Amino acid sequence: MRSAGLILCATLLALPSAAFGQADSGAEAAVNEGAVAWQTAWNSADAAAIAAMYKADGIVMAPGADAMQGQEAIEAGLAVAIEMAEGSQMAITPGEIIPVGDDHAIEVGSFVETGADGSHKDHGKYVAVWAKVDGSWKIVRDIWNSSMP
Amino acid sequence: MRSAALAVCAALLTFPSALLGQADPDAQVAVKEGGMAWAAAWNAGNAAGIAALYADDATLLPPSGDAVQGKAAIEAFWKGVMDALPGVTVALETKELHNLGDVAVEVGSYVDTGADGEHVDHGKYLVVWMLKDGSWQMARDIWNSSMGQ
Repeated sequence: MRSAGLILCATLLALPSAAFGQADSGAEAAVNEGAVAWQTAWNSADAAAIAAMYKADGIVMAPGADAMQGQEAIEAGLAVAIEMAEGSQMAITPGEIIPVGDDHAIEVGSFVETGADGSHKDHGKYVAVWAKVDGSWKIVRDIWNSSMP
Repeated sequence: MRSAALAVCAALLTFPSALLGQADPDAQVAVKEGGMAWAAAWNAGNAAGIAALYADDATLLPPSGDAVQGKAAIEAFWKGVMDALPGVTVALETKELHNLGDVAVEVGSYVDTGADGEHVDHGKYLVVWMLKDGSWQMARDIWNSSMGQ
């Protein structure tokens, strides 16, 4: 009986974690909802709403400036960017979502920025690292660049 | 004995996966050595040496262009950049390393210096390293310049 128990244990340990019915961490849904929330906030010129999506010590690494850490700095930086964008609209598309363990995810996506006059302004790509903090998903590191020459 | 074996088994099953498949203790070493190898290869004009650090299915996300997919294309990309920037050397510095098990996120900074010592560019990068077949490889690599546009 002992050997049967040990064999069962060894078999269970050898199975991939998915076989245990490990709960989906919710990363995919959170990341997809996050993309909608980020672009909606940008399109509404709401820097505070964007900043709230980041973990308190989150970092945004935007082109043309030093990295910004913390919601206050992120909000201030994005407020400037939004003002300079003069009403541009963002469309954000998560292309790849890589769950990492139960409480992290890496997102690789693309964006298109359209001017207020409907003209094409910019398009590019980003990588965002998400973490589940006290049950809710927050962006911890975010970096992007333009794909335009 | 059976109950003891099953108790151990149950205890093992409830541990977070990070303890079961303990995070590779050499991630920090691998990333540090990888960064040194990357800079050394660049400074020697060795595109193959740079490409060797990437996973076969890696994605490179450079500014001013589209994403580059796969090791061969990544090698060609870096060769093209080095050909366009003769004599430019790079210095890389890891600022953070988030070890998430078999995935690690590196945040760092780079400085490009011209052949005559002039400052060419400085910026920041994020690399997603993945542990594959016992070795850490660069799977996603994105950066941007911090210089004003």
